[in-house]
Amino acid sequence: MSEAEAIRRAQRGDAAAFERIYQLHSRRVYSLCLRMVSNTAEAEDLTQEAFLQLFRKISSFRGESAFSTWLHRLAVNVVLMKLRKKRMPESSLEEATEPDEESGGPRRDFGAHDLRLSGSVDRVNLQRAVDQLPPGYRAIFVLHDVQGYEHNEIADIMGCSIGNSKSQLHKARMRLRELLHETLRNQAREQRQAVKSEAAGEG
Amino acid sequence: MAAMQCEIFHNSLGAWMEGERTPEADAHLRACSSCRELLADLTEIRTAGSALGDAEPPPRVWAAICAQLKQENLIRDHSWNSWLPSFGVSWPRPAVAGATLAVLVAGAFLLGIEVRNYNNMQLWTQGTEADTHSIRQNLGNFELHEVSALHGPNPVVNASFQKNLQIVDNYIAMCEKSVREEPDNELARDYLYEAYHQKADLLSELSERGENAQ
Repeated sequence: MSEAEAIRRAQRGDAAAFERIYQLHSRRVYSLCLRMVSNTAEAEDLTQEAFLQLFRKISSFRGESAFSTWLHRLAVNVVLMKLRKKRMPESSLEEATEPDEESGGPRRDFGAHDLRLSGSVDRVNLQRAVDQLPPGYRAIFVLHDVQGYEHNEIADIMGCSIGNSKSQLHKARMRLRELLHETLRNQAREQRQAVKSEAAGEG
Repeated sequence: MAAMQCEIFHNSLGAWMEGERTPEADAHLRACSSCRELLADLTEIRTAGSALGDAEPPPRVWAAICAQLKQENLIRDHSWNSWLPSFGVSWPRPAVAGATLAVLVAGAFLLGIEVRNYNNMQLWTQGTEADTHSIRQNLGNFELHEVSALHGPNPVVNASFQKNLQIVDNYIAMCEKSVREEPDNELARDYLYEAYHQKADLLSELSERGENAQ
């Protein structure tokens, strides 16, 4: 069953068509939710909510936009609503000074990057850094760099201009760089302390 | 002057990474190690992001959506357990079915707990293979010797039963695939045991209804 056929049949309440639509899109929607909230149980709930909203509204779908764009817009809105209800996690970064006018978070001076990221960005560190991004930055980073959407598609999904999508993506990457450098510095500091402790124990 | 050049490059870096390159930006990049380092970091982040990839939602997400859609009367459907309320009253009673299934369900549950207690991942994976083999074998034997002997007079109910059993078997196959692909994913393992439980429950309910029909 093609997507177009599945949509037509789902609009008449055909259960198999609903299932087909779910099969076609659930992986992408679930992944979006998972990368945005970094919690499998919450991602399952959000996926469920996004598809329920979709199926409740499917009779009103007239094909003005691509179906997947429509679905992802619903999913992003569901996730952002959820994130807005949650308090942003405390940042572990040090030397906080003035608030950053873009992100609302503390501004820090990371002019001297003494460690390079090359080869050191693993999935865990990256996901932790993504979790600390403001929701808007996070959504655009996940949609573009993780899920591979183009800026014109993201503009449709997020309801913003293409230029805004590009600008937000760049800021998101810059913020991630700061967060990842801080992680590397912390890890290096812990290693130094471990070596010192070991040396003191031997002495 | 150098700082200004860097600032200009930073402002155009997003576009540069999108392929909108200018000779001036290229020249600055060749001359400035700091901006080369920044570009390398951002490229690394973009690459790491794409490697995060997609993940499969567990089967219960669809089950929950389906249940809610039915509750809201948004779909017309005969889903996997819709046959149960209308189950025929003339199923023959399988011998010792209730007792067998009770042992089977308890066994599956206990094995699940035992396997979850492995600390070592390799041991866990081996243990999962070994212990779920016996669960699968028990379920298969029961299905073969007891349930397959049930031939109700109503072909619609028979077909519905076979269809629903197939759905549960597919669910188990998906969970087994998930565990094989991600042996260190505790949630995937939990879902696998839950899937075995579902099949045991389905067979158990079937035998109980058959028993009540006698």
